Amino acid sequence: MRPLELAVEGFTCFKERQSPLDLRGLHLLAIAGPTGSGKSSLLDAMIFALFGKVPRLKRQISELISLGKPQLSVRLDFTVGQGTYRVVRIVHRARPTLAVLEQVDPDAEVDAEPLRKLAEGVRQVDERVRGLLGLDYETFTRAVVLPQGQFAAFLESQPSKQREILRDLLRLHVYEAMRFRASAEARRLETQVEADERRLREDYADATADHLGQRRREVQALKDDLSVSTKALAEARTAETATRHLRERSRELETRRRDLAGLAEQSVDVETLATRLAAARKAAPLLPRLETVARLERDLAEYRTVVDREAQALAVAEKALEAAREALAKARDASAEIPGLRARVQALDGVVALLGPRAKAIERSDAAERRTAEADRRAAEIVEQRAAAEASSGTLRAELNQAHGAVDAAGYDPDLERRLDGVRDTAGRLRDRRSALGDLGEQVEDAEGRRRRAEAQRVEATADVAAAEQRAQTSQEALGRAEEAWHAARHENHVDLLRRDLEPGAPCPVCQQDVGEVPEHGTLTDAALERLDALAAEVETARAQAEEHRRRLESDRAVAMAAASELDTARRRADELRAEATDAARVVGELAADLHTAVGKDVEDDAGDTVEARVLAAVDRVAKAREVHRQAQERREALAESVAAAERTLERLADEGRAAEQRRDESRAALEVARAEADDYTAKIRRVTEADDPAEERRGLAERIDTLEATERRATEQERQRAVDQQGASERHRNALDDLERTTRHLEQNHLEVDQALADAGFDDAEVARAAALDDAEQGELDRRIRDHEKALHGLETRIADLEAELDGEFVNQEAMDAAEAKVRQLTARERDERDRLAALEGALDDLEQRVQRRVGLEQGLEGVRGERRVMRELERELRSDRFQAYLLEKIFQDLVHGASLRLYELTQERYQLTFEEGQFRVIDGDNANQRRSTDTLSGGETFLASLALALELSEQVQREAGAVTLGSIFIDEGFGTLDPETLDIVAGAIESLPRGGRMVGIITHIPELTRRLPFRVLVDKSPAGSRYRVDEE
Amino acid sequence: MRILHTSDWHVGKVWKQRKRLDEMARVLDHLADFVERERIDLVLMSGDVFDTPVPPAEAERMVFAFFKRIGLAGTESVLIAGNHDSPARLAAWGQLSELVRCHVVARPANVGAGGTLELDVCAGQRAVIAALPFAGVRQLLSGVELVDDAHKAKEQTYPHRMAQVIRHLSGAFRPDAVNLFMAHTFVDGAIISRSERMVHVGDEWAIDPQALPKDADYIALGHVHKPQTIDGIPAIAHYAGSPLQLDFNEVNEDKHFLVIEAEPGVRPTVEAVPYEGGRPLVDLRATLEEIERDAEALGRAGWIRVTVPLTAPDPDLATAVRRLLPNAVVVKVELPEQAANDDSDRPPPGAPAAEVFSAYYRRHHERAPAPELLAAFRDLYDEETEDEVE
Repeated sequence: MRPLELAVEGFTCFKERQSPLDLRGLHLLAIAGPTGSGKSSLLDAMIFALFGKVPRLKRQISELISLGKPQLSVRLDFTVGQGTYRVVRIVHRARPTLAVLEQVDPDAEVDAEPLRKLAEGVRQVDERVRGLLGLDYETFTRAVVLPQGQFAAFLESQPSKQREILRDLLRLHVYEAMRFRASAEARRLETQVEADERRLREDYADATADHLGQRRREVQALKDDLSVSTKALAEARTAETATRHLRERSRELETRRRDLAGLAEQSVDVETLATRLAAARKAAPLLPRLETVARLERDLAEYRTVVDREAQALAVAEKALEAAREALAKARDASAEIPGLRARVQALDGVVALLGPRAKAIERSDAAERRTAEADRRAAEIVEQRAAAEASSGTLRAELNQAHGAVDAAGYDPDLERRLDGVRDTAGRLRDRRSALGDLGEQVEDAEGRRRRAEAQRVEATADVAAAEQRAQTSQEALGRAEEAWHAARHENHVDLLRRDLEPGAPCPVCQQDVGEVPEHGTLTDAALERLDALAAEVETARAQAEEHRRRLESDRAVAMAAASELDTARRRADELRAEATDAARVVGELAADLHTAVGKDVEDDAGDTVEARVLAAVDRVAKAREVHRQAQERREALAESVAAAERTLERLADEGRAAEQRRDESRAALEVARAEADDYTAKIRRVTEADDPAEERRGLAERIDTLEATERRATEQERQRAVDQQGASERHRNALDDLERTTRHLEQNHLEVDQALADAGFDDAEVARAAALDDAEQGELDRRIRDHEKALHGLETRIADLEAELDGEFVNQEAMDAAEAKVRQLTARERDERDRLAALEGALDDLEQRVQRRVGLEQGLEGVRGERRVMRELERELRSDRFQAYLLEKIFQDLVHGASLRLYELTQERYQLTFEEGQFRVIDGDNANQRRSTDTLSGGETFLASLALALELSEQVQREAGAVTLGSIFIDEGFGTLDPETLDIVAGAIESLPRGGRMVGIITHIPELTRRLPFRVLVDKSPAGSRYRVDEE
Repeated sequence: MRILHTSDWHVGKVWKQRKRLDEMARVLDHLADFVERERIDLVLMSGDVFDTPVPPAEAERMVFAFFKRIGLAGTESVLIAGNHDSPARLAAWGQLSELVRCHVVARPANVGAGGTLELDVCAGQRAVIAALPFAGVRQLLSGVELVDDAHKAKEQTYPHRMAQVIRHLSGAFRPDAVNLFMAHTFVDGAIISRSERMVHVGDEWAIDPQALPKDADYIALGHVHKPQTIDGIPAIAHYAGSPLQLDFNEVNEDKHFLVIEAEPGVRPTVEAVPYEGGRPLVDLRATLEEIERDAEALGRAGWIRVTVPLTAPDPDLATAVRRLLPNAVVVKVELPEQAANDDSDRPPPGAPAAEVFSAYYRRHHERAPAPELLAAFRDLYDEETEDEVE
């Protein structure tokens, strides 16, 4: 499975719609973003699309819907093998969940729908996805999405815990389930053994060989009895058949004799029928003749009616012919007018040819009149325009004259401007210098002021120093005095203190001579001590004072020195500035002189205190004059142009006026010619007719001629038609009279012939003959009835004779018959009874034989089941968790460690290996003399590498276990903090080596260095409106 | 004109916990001295200036100082981004480095849009430089627009696209100039040192040597760390390689840069000049006693990988060796082959369950399982796993 495109909306933190995440062509990508931004939710969305579930959510699926959204929708396009698929799931808070799985048809036409639905509905889709991937949800979340943090935990957990996790991941519960199955199977087999034993004991107790022999003998005895009964029954049945035959013949003979008596009674009626048939046969030939007579009489009446109808028609036709002849005579009279009318028509034809030319002449004259009027109007217009143009031209000329004046009045002097240009810069410089000179003057004054103040300050400071010296001297002396006084007082005190210890005769502590007389000593009073203290205080005060004065002196000396220095500076500055000012004044004077020489005269009249100001004013003035001059010139040129244009307009108008007049004259001449021509034509016409429209008159005359000729033609035709009609009527009348006569003759001859035939046949008249007649069917019926009677009579007599011969006196009655039948019934019942008993006995025998066979089989089968039961019990024992399961777990664990170690070795470019010793994982560092370190002392990067190796190996094992195809993608949810640069390099190198064989590797990380290093990044950002992602690439 | 071709500095690379910045500082000082002394007109740096997208400040300082020094002395330089460099950062400081004649091409670009440069290198001689930094196929597609791109597919491969882009860029060559081509890429057949980032030297990244421009006077390649020429093509093409031996696969490998004497229309001459300032890598096999004896001499030998033969594991060995030899970066041990595990009956990973069961049975009962037992195991296993698939 390799994801191509993921679209999510309303899915946990991905609240709003955003363009789908396009993962096509990416091999190695980082999914990065701040904690809680929804990195893992992207993976969840993918897992959800495939399986309808997500990790870490145990309850309602609707909890995945973003807050405030009615539904979530997730779409994932992915490939498996060569196929491309799309799965869509939509979960609504209130409606049922939708799920669709479709396959993308790569060969579909561009416009055609490329998707083919594979499954619909949650259950179906779940099933198909599982089938496609070859992985169920549990396996997928363990093999495709590697929660790296969990593996780090795995590394450090207790061995028993590790095995438990493994048992879960690798579905070792299969073996526990197998053990259950084996146990159940063993129990089932146990039950079967018991059941079989019970059946043998209970159901097959009688299935013995003895029992079987006894039964066989019983059957044989019964078979003998049955063969006796069968023979007796056959004999009785033969006798019964013979008796039944004779009884049937006897009954028939009785019936036939009764029938013969009945037939003899019907013979009288048959005679009457024969008489009637003879009369009918005579009447039959007469009937056609009678029919002919009746038809002829009907024809005769018909012909008479026809003759009357034709006579009337003839009279009508003759009257119509008469009328037609009269009408023809009238028409011929009217046609006499025609030759006169034709002569008049010819005269009018000559006049009509003139009408066209006359109309055209009138049209030309009208057009010429319109043109003349137009030309008059245009000429008047041009006269007006000329007047206006002349007025405007006059005004412009006046303005042009003024403009000439204005140009001169501008007073622009180019020579002056050139001269001024030459000195303008000098003037500017001079102005600046002069201004600078003014500033300098001020500065000089300032400097002088500062110098004066500095001098005053120095004098003051010198005085202060002298005073301070005096004060210091005085206070130093005062200090000397105070110290002296204090020393004296202290000495006195000391002496006094020594004197107290003196004793007469004892040596003096000072001079070591014997003390003679002890001098008087004062009492060491508080007052003496206070005085000493006071003196000491005085000394301190004096010392402080002296110190103070000394500091003041130093300070004053510093001030004096500063003042001296200040004064020095001020003096130097003032001297410099004065020199500078002198120089500047000299330069200003020179420049002003130059300027004056150059243009002094030109600028005399300009405003300004200084020559440069005047020059600059003149420059402005000249510039302004030039501008005015330029504008005046432009205006003059514009006006000259306007005047020229006005004159051109005038000339044009004069030309146009002349042209208009010429056109008017031409139009008038044309008008005259056209009118004369029209009048000429009118006169010619009037000579022939006064009619307004001679053509109309001619048309009327022609129509009249046509009408007269048509009337005569029609009358002639009518007369001819009527004559033909009259001839036809006369012909038909004659034919009708002929038919009448012929029919009358024919009828009379027939009457004679019929009367003769009736008499020959013996009928009184035609009516009697008709009554005797019968048609063919009636005659046939009568004939048949007579012959049937005779045939029946003969048949009966023959049959009776045959029966009497067959019976030959052996007449069998009903009693004898019944007795024979009763005997047969009795024997049949006995035979059947014996046969039934035999069948029952034989069935019992078969059954017994089968059961004996089954018993043998059952006993053999029981042995087999007992064997199976032993196998299942053994299997149950071996599959116990402390036996095979323990072995298997240990093996898988060792395989896992070994495989992970190989991977780690490869991932770290042959540096680290993994081993499991003393109940914990250890990493062997090949770069450090194969130092073994337990996993809890590994750095973050090393832990990552070790757990990644474990995760990859486990993923491999899970896949192998599930029998899935090679995974097209793998996602690692990394769980470490930070990495040092070198480990980062190794980790990144390891990750980069993963997308082998086109596999896609995604790593969820929040380590910026790692993120930056991968070629593609899906960055997830969080905002109040929900998280957003985007693909970023370097 | 005199051209110097260097490449793959990887300044700031952390290798076995060592940054090796002092070595690189010496190398760059020597290189700058050489440029000044030999009056080099143009320096070509073919990528991987730094080892990481965000290099340490000290690394940046050294690199910037180098280009500033040679630039102020009047030497032009052209630098392209390698797969280790961050194009964005190179593009950023590249704007400033223009001031010292250092021209940075960070991303692939069209002719005239930064993909080619024309420099007046020395009096009256011009160089046209087609510069193609490292980029993935997607960046190659988005960075360089070609006329026949209408049907460009995402599936286009890197070698194919590179060939197109190279053809496009070499269109800027002129007969009256020295025509140079620079690229940071893996040319098929080049010998790698394995210190390259493995992900970018795979088959899918290998371009055909014939795709290199035939009319270039010199082709300055970067990416592969072993200096070498590309043979079998009309133009002269060199990988300059890295200045330092970057890992133990490069022990004894001579590292050098190239000095090219070129004139328009004349086949240039190329001279290899060894880098100076790097410490050599040494692969050593010695007992602890031998190391102790020669510690003083070995301590000055460069960076050492030492393999110590032992008869039994010694957990303190690494510490002891490193105390004697502070320059030992890797300590390997060589132990006698361990007796083969007696677990030879263990089935391989992924073996069928019944086989594993058989092995278990043999181990526990010291005889093979009865065929009925094995058959029953198989049946139950099949039933159970089929149920799971349901």
